[in-house]
Amino acid sequence: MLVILSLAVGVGLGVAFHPAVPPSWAPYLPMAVMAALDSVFGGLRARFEGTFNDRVFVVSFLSNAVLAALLVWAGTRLGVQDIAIAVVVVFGVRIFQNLAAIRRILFHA
Amino acid sequence: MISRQSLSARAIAPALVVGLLAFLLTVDLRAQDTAAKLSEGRRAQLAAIVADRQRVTAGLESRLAQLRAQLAAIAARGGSVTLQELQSATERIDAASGTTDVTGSGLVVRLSDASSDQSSNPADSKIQDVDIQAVVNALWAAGAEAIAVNGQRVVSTTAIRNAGGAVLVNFRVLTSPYVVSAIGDVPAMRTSFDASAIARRFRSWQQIYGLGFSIEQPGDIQLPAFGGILHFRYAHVVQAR
Repeated sequence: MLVILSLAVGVGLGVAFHPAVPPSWAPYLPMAVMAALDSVFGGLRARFEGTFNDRVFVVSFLSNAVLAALLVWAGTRLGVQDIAIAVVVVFGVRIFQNLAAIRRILFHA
Repeated sequence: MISRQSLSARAIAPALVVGLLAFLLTVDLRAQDTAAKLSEGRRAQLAAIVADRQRVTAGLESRLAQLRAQLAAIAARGGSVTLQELQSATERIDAASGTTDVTGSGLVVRLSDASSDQSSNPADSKIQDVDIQAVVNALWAAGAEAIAVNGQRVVSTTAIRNAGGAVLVNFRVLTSPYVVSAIGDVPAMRTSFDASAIARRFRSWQQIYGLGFSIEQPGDIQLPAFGGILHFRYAHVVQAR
């Protein structure tokens, strides 16, 4: 219940304030969002598997998001412009795996 | 920190995190939307604006030339001695400042990019702003009284500089071949310019990189007036006592 409320408040804040993303941040925000999405699906999967731990969830969410953005930032600084692709692939695969696990638990298929 | 004992923290923290995700997602979605909207068709729009501005500028410049001609005609009709003295003074100042067409015997220096790249560095086969600057400077030093580059009169506020791949003179984009025309004492200018460092360098560049370089003496040449406005806002004339 609290989670859904918080979800709604987050969307509401994003729509209401419409914060301008500084151009220098533009490449990193999507990376942080990918990492955060992965953490949330991971958390959901853990919930269904009965191994959910709020501490792991919160820490992994924050650290993954920050680390993903930092990694891309460091990559562009080092001249590896395409490092964003690596982040997208890694988190993409993980999100799919988590979704597949959730699907198996929910539908037993 | 989240304490294991506190029940409320255990419930709130994950919820806050999910809220944060929702917030980030929304912000990112909207940012991507705006970015897509901005880049779409922006190039064409900018090109159209530039072309439009150039048309407007050309129109205004021809209007300016018209008005100046009218002003000169009106001034020429006036007959008093003081007026005539003033007019001859203005004429001299106009000629010196570059705001009138001038004609006289002159020298024409023609510079052009190499037709094919003979060097690994593409900049070597193109005429650069500094090359034109050096030629103009050498011509001034050789005693030129008026100079124009591709019809752009060189005046006190003229800058010759690179912008992207092109050379700008008086904020006009010029392309190869660059024709530097100078009015002055032709034999003296010819001798002095021939001996200048830039002429020597261009002769060797002609061999090495295939740059075009020629000096012509077409007899009388005409240089157009400076098309822009010499309007000084910060420099004031010191009053003579």
